[in-house]
Amino acid sequence: MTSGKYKHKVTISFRFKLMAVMLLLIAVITGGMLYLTQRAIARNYQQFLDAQFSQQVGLFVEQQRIRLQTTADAIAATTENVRLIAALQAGDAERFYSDMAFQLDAVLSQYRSTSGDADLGYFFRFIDTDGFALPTDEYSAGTVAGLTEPELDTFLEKFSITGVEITPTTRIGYIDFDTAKGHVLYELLITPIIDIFGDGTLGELVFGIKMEQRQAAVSRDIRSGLYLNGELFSLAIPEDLRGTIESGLATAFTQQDTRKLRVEINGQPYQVFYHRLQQHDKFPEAYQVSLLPLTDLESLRASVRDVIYILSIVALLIAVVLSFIFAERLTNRIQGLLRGTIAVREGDFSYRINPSGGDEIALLAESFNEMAEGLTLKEKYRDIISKVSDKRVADAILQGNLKLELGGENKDVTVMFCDVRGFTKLSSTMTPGEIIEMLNEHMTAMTKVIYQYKGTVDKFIGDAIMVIFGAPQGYNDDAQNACNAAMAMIAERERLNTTGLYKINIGIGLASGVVVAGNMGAADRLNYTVLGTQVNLAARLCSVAGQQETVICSETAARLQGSRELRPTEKLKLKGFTDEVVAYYLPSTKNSLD
Amino acid sequence: MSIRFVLCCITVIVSISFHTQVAHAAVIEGSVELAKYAPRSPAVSQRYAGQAGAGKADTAPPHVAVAYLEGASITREQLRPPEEPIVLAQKGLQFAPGILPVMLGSKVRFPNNDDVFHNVFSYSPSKSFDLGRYARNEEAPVQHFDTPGLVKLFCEVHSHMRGTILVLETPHFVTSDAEGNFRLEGIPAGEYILKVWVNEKQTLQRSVVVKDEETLTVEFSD
Repeated sequence: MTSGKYKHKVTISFRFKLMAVMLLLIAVITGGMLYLTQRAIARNYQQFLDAQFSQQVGLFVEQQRIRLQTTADAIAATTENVRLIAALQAGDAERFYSDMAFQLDAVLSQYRSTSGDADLGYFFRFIDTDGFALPTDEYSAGTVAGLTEPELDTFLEKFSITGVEITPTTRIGYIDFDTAKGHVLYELLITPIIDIFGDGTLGELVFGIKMEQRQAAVSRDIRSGLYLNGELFSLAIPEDLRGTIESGLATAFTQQDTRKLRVEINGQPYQVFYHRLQQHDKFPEAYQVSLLPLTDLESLRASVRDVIYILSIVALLIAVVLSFIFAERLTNRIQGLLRGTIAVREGDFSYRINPSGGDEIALLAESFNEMAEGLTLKEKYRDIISKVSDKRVADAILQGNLKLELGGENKDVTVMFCDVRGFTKLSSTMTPGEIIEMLNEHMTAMTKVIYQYKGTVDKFIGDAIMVIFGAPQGYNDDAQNACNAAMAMIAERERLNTTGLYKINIGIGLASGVVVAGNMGAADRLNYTVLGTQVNLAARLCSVAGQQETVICSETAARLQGSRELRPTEKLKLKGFTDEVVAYYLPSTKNSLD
Repeated sequence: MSIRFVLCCITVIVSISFHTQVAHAAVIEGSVELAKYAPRSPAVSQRYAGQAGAGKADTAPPHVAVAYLEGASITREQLRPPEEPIVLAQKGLQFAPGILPVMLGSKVRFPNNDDVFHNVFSYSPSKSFDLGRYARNEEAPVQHFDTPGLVKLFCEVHSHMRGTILVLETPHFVTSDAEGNFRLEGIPAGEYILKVWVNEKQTLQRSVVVKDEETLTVEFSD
């Protein structure tokens, strides 16, 4: 379908490009869909985890409140006990602590450690308004294993608040004691002791609960712990992970990172959440830390991803088929257009394209058809013009070299007249139809030869032909062409006389010189012709020529420049010429032709 | 001469000298601005409002001061505490009086004049006791105060009930009135330190010199 005459090559076909574009579009959409969906899922799951975590924190806080409420209430109730107040006012530590232990016995029994450690799993100490702890060695007041009494008192004095800062409510906080046995996490309840009928606030009671027993996991899937001073206290989080989580949290706090910490337990991914617990500003920052499992998220994402992949592949296959069909339809129509243009290029103006499809290509087909129609018409006109006037004149007009208006110019030409010897006598015995047929055959043959030698047929006058060599377009060797044409015409006539139906004898006259050449006649009925003495001369010389003879004028002879052997004629006395005319005979065809 | 006559003379002489001593004793009067030393006004117990006998005595007892003399001439051996126990009652769900100065060696009886139980106790280092629970018609216990110092009284049943006993090593002491005015009488001439106990944490003092039959006025107004 593609022709080797084209300058451009088809490197990538239009159909391929179209298909590629459609597939690319589908791929982009699918990729985008996949990406956005994944992000949406991740975001939603993150929100779900956040909600779950905050629920868990709420649960933790609630549980803590419930758990500690009874303790706090019990402590608050005791602080109203006048015996304790009396003991404090008297400075009787032993009586104070033993009475307090007795009062709190129900509460203490829940915290009493069953492991048989030296410390009972709890302690309580009184701190006065000056911030000094009241030391004791009363066993039931408890202690912290690994800390001496002075050490414990010093530590607690850091948390006391003197004077006006004391609020009436119980404060809860977390601290870790740095004991000889390592860091131990304690939950502290601090309750003010107020003698409302006496001096007001006497001090605070600090009640500490050892947290080891309290860190049981809420559920199997949610592992939690408490993070304090760079250390993670937990039963449910494996020890080997605690270091990772601790350093991760430390980095997160310093960098103000969002909660994206992830760890793995037994190959299952978990996300680390943390929540800052409300502590009084004298307490170190404490965080509730939870590990929430991500397995569900991962499997959800995997399944969604699979679905999207399958859908994408199906969509791609459908796209391939559809784009193939569609592209083929489109390219077929384009190829139809291509065929049409090739046909026109090769001169077949009759090719028409079916303008179907209802789109721009249909309009293009219609345009093409109109164009071909126009070209056909143009060709028809050219034909007509060529037929009614010389082809060269027609070409010159169509190409715009010859203006279609009256006017002329001087041109140096050679004029030829060729007529049939004894035509009248010859045609007297023929019917008009035969005459015309004979003449047509003769004129066709002669015109063909004339055209070969660059002659322009001016007109047919009965049996004579008037030819111009050198107009509308001049060739430098017009005289030479005219002579060659004359000899060729005679040779052709002789050949036809032997092979054809009719025997015709012709005579030719040539004259060269300057004439007036141009469009003459009426404005809407033009005839390209020449005027001048040479025209008359050529006509006269023609009638002088005998059968198969060519007579040329002196000027023409001169232009031949001795290339032919010329035989001069007698001095001629021609009508319209005052002087005697010198003329020559061209050699006959029996002699050599150029 | 008969022994009876000698004894009579001695008695007359002693009584005359004693009378002379009493007749020549000085008086110390004074006052303090009680308001300056008032303790933090405690909460009013609403718990017993409307209860029988509660009346207006379920508020804190009125704030008063105790003025007493110390001096080189006053020694423990001279003290003659009264034989009869001094009464510190529980009345209207309060101690009456709220502040009681007693001479070292005195006895104090704690009758329950209310229709409810009371349980008086003290953890004070100078005197620590617990009278247990007893009602109005029961025998009121007695405590012997043989150590000088401040004794704070509480009632286990009623936490708002607070009382104070000042055990003093001097025969010269008096409780001020509600305005802070006090009057010490029968003071032998001499040099003393006048101390005025105004609250648990503060005791004002002034050196005084009294002469016979003089009334010394002391103002603590700075």
